[in-house]
Amino acid sequence: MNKKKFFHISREQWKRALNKVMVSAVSFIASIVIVGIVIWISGYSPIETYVSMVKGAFRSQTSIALVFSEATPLLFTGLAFAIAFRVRLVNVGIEGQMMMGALVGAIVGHFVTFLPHIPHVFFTMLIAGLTGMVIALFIGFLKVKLGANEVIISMMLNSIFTYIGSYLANGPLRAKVTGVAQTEIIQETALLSKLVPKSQLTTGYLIGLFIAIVLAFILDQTVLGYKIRIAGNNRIAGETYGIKATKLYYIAFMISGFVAALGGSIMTQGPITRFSDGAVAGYGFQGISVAALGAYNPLGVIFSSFLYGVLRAGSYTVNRTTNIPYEFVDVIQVMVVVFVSAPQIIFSVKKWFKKRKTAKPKHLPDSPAPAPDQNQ
Amino acid sequence: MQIVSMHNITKIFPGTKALDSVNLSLGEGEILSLLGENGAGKSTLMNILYGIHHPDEGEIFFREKQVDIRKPMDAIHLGICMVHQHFMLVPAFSILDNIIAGAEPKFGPLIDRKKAYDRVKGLIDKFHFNLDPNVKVSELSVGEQQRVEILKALYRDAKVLILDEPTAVLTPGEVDDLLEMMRNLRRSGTSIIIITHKLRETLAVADRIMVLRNGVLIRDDIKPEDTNIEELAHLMVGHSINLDLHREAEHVGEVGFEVRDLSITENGVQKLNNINFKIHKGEIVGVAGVEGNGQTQLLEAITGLASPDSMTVMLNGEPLTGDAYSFLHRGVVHVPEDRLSMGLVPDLSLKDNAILGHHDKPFAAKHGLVQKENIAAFTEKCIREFNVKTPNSDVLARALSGGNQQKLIMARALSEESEVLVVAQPTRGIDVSASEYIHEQIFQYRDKGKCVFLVSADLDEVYQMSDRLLVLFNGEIVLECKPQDYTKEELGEFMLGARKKESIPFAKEADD
Amino acid sequence: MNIIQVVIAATIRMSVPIILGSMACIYSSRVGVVSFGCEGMMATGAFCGALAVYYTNNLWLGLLFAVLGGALISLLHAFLHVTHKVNGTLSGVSINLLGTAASALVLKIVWKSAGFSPEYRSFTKLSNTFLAKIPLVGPVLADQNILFYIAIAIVIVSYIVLYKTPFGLRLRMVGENPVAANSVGINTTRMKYVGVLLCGALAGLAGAYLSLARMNRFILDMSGGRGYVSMVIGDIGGGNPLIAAAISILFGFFDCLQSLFQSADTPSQFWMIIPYAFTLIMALVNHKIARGPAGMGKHFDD
Repeated sequence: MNKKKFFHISREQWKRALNKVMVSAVSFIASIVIVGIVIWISGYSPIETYVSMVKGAFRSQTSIALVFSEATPLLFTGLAFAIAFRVRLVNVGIEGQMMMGALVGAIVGHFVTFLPHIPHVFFTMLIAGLTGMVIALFIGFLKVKLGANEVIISMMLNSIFTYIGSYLANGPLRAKVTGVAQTEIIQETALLSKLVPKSQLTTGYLIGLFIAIVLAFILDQTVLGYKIRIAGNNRIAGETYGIKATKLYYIAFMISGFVAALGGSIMTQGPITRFSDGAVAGYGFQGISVAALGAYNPLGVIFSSFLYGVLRAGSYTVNRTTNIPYEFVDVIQVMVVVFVSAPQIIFSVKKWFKKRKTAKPKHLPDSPAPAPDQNQ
Repeated sequence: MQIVSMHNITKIFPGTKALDSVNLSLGEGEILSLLGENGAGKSTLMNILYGIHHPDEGEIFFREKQVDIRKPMDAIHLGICMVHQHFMLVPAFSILDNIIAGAEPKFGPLIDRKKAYDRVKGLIDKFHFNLDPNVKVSELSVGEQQRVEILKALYRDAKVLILDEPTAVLTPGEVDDLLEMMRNLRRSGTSIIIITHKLRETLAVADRIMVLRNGVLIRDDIKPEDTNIEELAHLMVGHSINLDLHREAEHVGEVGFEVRDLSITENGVQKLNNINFKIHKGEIVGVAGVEGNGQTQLLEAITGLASPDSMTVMLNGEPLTGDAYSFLHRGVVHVPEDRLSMGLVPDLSLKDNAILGHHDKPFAAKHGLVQKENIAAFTEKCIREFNVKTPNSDVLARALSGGNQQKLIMARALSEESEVLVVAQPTRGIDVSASEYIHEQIFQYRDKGKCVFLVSADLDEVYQMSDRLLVLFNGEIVLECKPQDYTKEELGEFMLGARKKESIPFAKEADD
Repeated sequence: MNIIQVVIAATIRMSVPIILGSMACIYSSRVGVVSFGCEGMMATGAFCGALAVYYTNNLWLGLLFAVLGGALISLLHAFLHVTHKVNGTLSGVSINLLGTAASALVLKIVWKSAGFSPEYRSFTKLSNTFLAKIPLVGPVLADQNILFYIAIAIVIVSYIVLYKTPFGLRLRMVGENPVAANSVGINTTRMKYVGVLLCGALAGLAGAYLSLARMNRFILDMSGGRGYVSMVIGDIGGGNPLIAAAISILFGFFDCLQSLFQSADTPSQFWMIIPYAFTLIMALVNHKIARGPAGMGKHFDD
């Protein structure tokens, strides 16, 4: 294939991409600033905090590895959320799907003993991924066929799965020797290899990168991606020209569920090595922010998950050296979602400032021209 | 005394002069009928009186005092109320709640339902509306819902009632009831302006008739007793018959597309009743008719978007069934009536838009992969051949002007092999040069020996373009003819239901 | 108290936050704004109430701050969804995440603790009042705290407000058909703000019940999905406060079963699933039973 043409990006596309990058960047900075104010109010220097965070994140080879290992689950859930949101589905079920992936990964990783290393790794990931896919498909079915609200269904299923997982970790699958409620460590054949020795960074991150590229390829280069684009932007036009939105809901849900559960399994097969209560809790919801910051673009998600990886890894340092809790990263992440979904907020604040500066003329240039009044 | 008078009202919308120095006067207890074709400016004039639009020039007087009506509430406070064609009702509420919402009588902090009930019941009895205020609106027929809308206005002490196409949705019996109600209202001193194209009803109830055409006041002093349907139809459609633009079909071949026994019922209302027609190869068949007489349903049925109660479609002698996808891929291409919602994805590039519907044809997709070079070439071809003005093919569709958007949609439909073009409102809201260009392309397509089915609310357009005309009225084909056999005025009579079916059914004359 | 009285009393205790929450969601969905954010508003209310009581030792101030906290975060929801027309689901979910994240952060800053606050005063049962002396129902009524009675009052007031006052009629009209409401001079944007703010205030109160009455400390995620439950119940009651309150009590019964059986031999997780499964089934049959406002998610100028 002709490489030059294949990656050809026109000026318009650059402009639009740049615009999205701008929105994300401005949202990120605005969130950092707002949380910085909170840090400042609670009596610390926000600048020092952020500096020590970045320093902490890039201190050594191990800390850089930590950045990427923190980014790994976020990469998966970010991708999972982004792909569903491309057809305007809000899949908050990725939280539960990832958890089930982690659980199934732990089961397959532990109980399947006859497979050699590489096949066992992939078999485990595949079964886990398919589990998530089936769950997501079920949610899609309830939405399309019964008209149920996918967010409610997903939230309730998330809770139900959490208890199922908790039951299994406390009961039938509970490890014999430990006192904690967790499953047995999975077989070594199912473990992913470490990318950096003595770190938590595994080849799982590379799998995430691969998935991101595959998804970017699907969205950009395939007919499926084209249909997703159409159905997500104008459902009626799509239906007029034979593109059925409901079919794409199913497909997007399935991909989303697969990727989320795969991420769960990769956590089990990587740093965690077993399943326990709350082992992967919260990553699903953080995925919303990762996807938003990445402009719901798989390649963007690679960057946004990296950025959050830096924040998270750095926040551990900050948490160790100061009294600032690492929870502020969560707040930054949520603020990002708010700003990315309504970038107008930032622009309206900007306008407001401009207006205050030039508040002298009574009729602002951007206010509508007064219509002729009949009474005078 | 004049209750309302509007002087020299001019309203300019981007590109068109919707109203050009129009005067209107309305006496107390008078029923004024405002006649005109689609786009004549009736609705704009009434929207100005009701405060939805603001005139660019002109003055409005209410009871001889100049007023500035800037929003509907201003009009309502003056006592000018409008009954919209699309009812502003809440089906889940009772009639009473619908009427009082926004103007509730109070008993302390609570709604005084007793007082409200008595008031509404009083109005109902006074005007013989025959409704129970406690019934839910969802249980009412369309005619009854309209009465609720009128009650809403009366409850607010309407002095002037504007009825926008009040009979469009009613059954004949309901129409008679409405006319009777209007006479009752007149007796009690309410003035009424009725916007309509229904001539019979106008003649039956109006005290005076006013005709608008292309934003210009034609007459406002017509007395129903001094006129007849024919004269009114002529006044409405005008005398400008311009057949110069028409190009005779070069070669009309055998039947290419045929629709039989098409009937559609929506919510119990018969929208289309036993429609039959054929399109020969190399022929443009146009549908003339006032909007809302079944055009939308007809278009949806013959493009596979809706599933009618009954329909048989034959394409080149073979039955055609299935959904929009099957129709499209058998060669029935579609230029939908609503450009922005159905025709385009405004937030995507021209390339993405250009292949909508072609997205899995071999040139656009191989093994599930999009062929970007081919798509780019295809888009360039569309842009070039249809003279779409755009900096490049990567801009978003929303960045184009309406005319260029429409050209792109046409280009998309015609650039690939197809058999039948179904095109609706091809030139609505676009400038003259783009319109001419699009017309030319339709002629060229026809002359390649293809079938064209054209639906337009613009009578001039259908008249000029069609080789054969169908007139749709109330979901039925009331006339099938060659345009040159009838004058535009005569067609107007058919469109408005003034004349009934008199053509020989097409089946008999077919296959000649 | 005999076993029946114990179960009834526990049922009522469990249902109070849901009753308040579903009232909250009713106000939101009645103006056509999807009430996903209720969970986050509850969490914020619970936290603000806890913070206020911790510092002032005044439970009533605690309630006030819970209400204000819930209303404040709901204002953000309204700003995003009503003013900026952000997808209501996304905006609601962001509110929920913000509620949790912000409480976790402030919790850490103020109390230097992960997950829960120190103990403080809380609303006590009305055991020593005249209520206890009423035969039969007395023990059940006295086993509640004052918030139960506030909740009952709110249900009745909400019913009257929604169905008997001009404000309620207009509120409902905005949710059903914003275009029609606008056409009779109702300011739909303002109404939507009012609905969402009321939702936030009541959800905050529901949160306060959790942190100031049910417990005597704040625990992270103590809303535990009750916001979503409230939303489903509000919808399934067709926006009618009385029906929603009745269903809330039914939910309370399942929630109480769950806590009663926790000590039994069966694994506790099965019992904990019950309330969620109940809600899930409710959500599935919801649209078969109740019809949501016709104008859900619509703005008058769409």
